[in-house]
Amino acid sequence: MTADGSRVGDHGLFPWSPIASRSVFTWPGQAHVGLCAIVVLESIEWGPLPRSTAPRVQRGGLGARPFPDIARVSHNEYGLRVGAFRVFDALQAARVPLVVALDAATAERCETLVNHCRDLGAEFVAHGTTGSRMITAALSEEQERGEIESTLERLESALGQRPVGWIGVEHGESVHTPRLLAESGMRYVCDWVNDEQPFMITTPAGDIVALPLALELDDTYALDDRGVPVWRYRTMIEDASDRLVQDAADGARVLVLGLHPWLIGQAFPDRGARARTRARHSPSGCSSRHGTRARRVVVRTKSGGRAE
Amino acid sequence: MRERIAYSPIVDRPALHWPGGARVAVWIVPNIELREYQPPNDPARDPWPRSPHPDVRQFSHHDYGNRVGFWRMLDILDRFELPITASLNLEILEQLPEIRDAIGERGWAVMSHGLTNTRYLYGLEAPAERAFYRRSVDLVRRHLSVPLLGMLGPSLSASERTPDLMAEAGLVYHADWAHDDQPVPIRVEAGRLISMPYSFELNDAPLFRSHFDGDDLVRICRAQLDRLLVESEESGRVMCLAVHPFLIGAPHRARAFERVLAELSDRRDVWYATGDEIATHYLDHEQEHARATGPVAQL
Repeated sequence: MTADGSRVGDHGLFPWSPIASRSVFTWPGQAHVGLCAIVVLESIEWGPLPRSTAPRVQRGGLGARPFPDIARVSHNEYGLRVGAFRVFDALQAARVPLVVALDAATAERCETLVNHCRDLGAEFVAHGTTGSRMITAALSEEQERGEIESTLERLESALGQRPVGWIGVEHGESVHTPRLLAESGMRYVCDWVNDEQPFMITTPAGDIVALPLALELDDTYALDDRGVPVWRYRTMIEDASDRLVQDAADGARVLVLGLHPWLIGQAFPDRGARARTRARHSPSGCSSRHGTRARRVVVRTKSGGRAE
Repeated sequence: MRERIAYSPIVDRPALHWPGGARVAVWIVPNIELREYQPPNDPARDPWPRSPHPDVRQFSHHDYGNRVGFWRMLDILDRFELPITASLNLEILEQLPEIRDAIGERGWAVMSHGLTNTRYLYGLEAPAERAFYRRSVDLVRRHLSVPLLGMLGPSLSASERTPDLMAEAGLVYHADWAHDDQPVPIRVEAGRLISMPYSFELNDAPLFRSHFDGDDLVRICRAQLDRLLVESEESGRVMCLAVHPFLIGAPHRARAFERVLAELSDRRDVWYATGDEIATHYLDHEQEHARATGPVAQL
């Protein structure tokens, strides 16, 4: 407790739980690491938009540009037209199941792309109405509920199925988001980046699984926000996977990678760099990783794979 | 700045001597931090400037440090058995007992890093800042049974009175100053206070928020120690390595962190020490250095 009596940092969503103090956690087949690659397919708007955060500034040192910033918007569009297909090929070659985070606008605009994902057996994760509309505390609760419901209805209409997982644009949440997602029937959320095992968020509308994404290994965070060279990105993922397998002796881990085709789907990252976003071809690696769709992780968690 | 610190070029000072004739004192400082999901509003500085609060991405990135990263970092540090100085948000002693016990069992030195990393000292009135030091000293005494000797300001924040009030509360070193490779006195109204060379260069936070990563830290640490060993033939130096569990504890950095510690370990002429030990030695044995480098009428 602090001097003024409040508990510091408490959000009331889930208890404090250091990974070293947890009971054993396992994946099917005794796999060491559950690997989940989430390909983010999103459409961005010309913006700026009211109540949204500023658009991502394109690298190159020129700063933010006014409307119409064709360079920025078309750079994103490259991922939907070209890059996505390279990323799908790489994941398929690596036998990593396809999980797609999809916003409503892309689901409606890019029918061929969506059909292609469906043909590949993709699992769809809801990702807002557009990639420019981050949920924040600047929205009223009603506005936020509308944003979530509109996303799910439009995705259901375009896909013929309602997703059960959510990843917010820019990981955006208000204090209400976990409850509103649970109310909307979402079973898991990937906004939280604070763990290497799934954990449960408790809300008055029911529990929702937090499936933590590896922020440091997200391509936009590493390559665009930080400016890590892509050849180093490859060794980062190799090193992470080696260490996670080693640490899994004390409890299995999850590695959830966010991949954005406008960036990692460029032609110049060598095939290896893309392919390394999955299991490495080492004998120990292949036997110890478990490519998984996000939903299978959730099922495992709900069925009592975890102590928390 | 000029009132607190006398300008003193390093080429024009009495020699500084470390125990056993060591040339470089190395202190290793993990910053173990507690940040709030919805911190109080501070007009001076927004801890989560990316979006209206909460910022779940940034909050949970830091939360990763305590839930996961700290434990991986600990596993690696344990294998090297170097003295460690935890730069600790002291509310952790109350709120995260597993981390408190891990620190206590290993006998790490604890330097205050404030109470939390989302409550700053900017513009604090003297009574509020005095209460802050009383709580800091009390938490460390109650949970670890040791006196509190140093502070790195909470998220590097300070008020104009901070050095005076630190000294008044019995603290003897302040690590916010990046101005030197040796400790030097800071002018305070009463008591004694020195600056302890911390680093914003050998520090995973600025490095790993830009394009640098683990292998760069290995090279930087090796080069820093090599150079300081060359320069310290006549007079001792301090080298600090600052890390943060949410960054250095990421799985892809484990191998590089092991290499960093291997680079720093088992070097001749190095005094592996804690912040408390360096400060205590300096205050007990380096009066001549302090007189020559400090503001007039100090120490």
